[in-house]
Amino acid sequence: MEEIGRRDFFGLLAKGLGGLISTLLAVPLGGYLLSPVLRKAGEGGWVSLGRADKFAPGRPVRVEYSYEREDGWMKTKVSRYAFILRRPDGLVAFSPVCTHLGCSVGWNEEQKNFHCPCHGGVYDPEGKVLAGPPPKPLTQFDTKVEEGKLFIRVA
Amino acid sequence: MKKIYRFLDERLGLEAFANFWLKKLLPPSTNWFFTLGGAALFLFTVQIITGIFLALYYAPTPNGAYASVAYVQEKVLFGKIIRGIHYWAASFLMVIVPLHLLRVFFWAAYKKPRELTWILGVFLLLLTAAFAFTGYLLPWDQKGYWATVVGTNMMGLVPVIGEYILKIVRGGMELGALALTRFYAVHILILPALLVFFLGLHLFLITKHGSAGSWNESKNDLSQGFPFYPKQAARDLVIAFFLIAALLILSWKAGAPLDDIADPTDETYIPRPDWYFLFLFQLLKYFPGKLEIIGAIVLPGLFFIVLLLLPFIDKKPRRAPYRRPLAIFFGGGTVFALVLLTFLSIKEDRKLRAAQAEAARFDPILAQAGEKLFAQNGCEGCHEGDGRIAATGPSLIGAARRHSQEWLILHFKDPQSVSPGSIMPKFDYLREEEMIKLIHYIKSLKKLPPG
Repeated sequence: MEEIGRRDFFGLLAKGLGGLISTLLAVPLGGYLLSPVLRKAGEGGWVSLGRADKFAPGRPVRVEYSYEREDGWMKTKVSRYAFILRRPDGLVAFSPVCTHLGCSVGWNEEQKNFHCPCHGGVYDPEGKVLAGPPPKPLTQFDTKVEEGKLFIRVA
Repeated sequence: MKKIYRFLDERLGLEAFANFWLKKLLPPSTNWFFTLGGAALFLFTVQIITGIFLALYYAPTPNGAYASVAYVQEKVLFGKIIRGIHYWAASFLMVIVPLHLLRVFFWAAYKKPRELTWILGVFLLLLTAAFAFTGYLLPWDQKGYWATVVGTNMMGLVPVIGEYILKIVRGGMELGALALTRFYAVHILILPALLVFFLGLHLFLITKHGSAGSWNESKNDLSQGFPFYPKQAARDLVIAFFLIAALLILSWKAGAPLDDIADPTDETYIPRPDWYFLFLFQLLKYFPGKLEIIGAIVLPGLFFIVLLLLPFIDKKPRRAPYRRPLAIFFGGGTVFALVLLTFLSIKEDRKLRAAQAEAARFDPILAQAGEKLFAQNGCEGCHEGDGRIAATGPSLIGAARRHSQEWLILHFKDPQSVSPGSIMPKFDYLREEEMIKLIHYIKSLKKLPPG
């Protein structure tokens, strides 16, 4: 009878310690793994796209820009492009990233709309979805005009 | 739950598996000394897990390595803790694995039929050291860089093929990008694969032959024994608990060191291996010049050959330490020598660092007085003073860093005594205080910006 009690004790001790040790390891490991989720998104910086008055009304204009981005432990110079449209109420900057699965959309001059090459998403010049699978209109950048120059805010 | 267990048991043989690994009977004499192997196993497991997590961020290039390790350390949640655990567990392994070997040695548990278990264990010790050595370079900081320069140079001492070994290990003559990717691949791919293989076999043989138990065979009656689980397992886990607690506290309070980024042009850095290789480092000091190979290759090589062959050298079945005086003498002597060498190395380093601190001491008032003496004694005739070029003598910039104060004073008194072939005249008429003033002036000399 006593022998069984001892065995139970060791069994409980082994299981308890096993659980405790696993927890002590799991907490830092879990936090480490979740670190990218828990990190606050940066404010992002403003990037100049040149003089604001060069964008005439009518159709979106493709503009390339590059900036230095924090990329984990390094800084990388990245090149991106955006579509700028002059509307009566001011300039709008569209991100070319399709809201479906992230392919890059292009401007189709003949049909006067944006086409995504991946799954056939189509957006009108205002970025609204006309056809295909995209769930949302094209994302717009925050914009500002300072000293005659157009700036967009990048992530 | 039970249904799932029965389903899996019928297909995988869980019951038989558990019986083999967990229910194996241990001799009644099995005690706390027999937890060292389990402790090593636990630490290896911790290393594999934390190592994989570190690899999520690590970039094995000279520029990326340091930056990515610093990033883990500073920006990743619990990054300091995970790296700290990995660092300290490596040090723990360099204690626990040898202690486990010593336990088996003093209990003479390597004898028939456990010779192969022992040999695999010796390879596991070598693997532990190889992990420590290759991992040391990966942060690409001063410590790791210079320790690896010296460590790999030792391999170059092997006769005839030394240079080839050096080139294979470093990927070329210099320690650079190619060496780093090599060390990285060995550390995270080759060594872990070998570890899993040797450790798996080692564990299998331990379980197959059972524990050797006490050296007093009358205490090893298995009919009086107990199964590994739960009693011995609980002991193993108590030790594992203290280990993880110590690792967490150390990584939280002390963390893992990260020196400045590796700088191959820094001649003032004193290269040192981590503490567990200091014995080897100290040993080399006793074999200067051509004899160096004895300390670097021959003695360590012989040591491992003897370790590997031990079960075949000491074959008699008697196991009690008092009945194996020769083995215990050599074993104890080796431990004593290793501890002594480590201790001496630490002690001598302390002196060296004090001397370096003295050399770094700089007094601008003495330097000013030295500058006057420099002019009065015509030193400028041969040496550049504050950057002016006078081509006869060598540049004095950095001379007070390259040489000790004692050396420089001897050199003033009789240049040829320490620098044979020197054409500098003796300045033995100067007083020592004046020489010290001149030394401080030399310390004040810095390279003028170009142009």
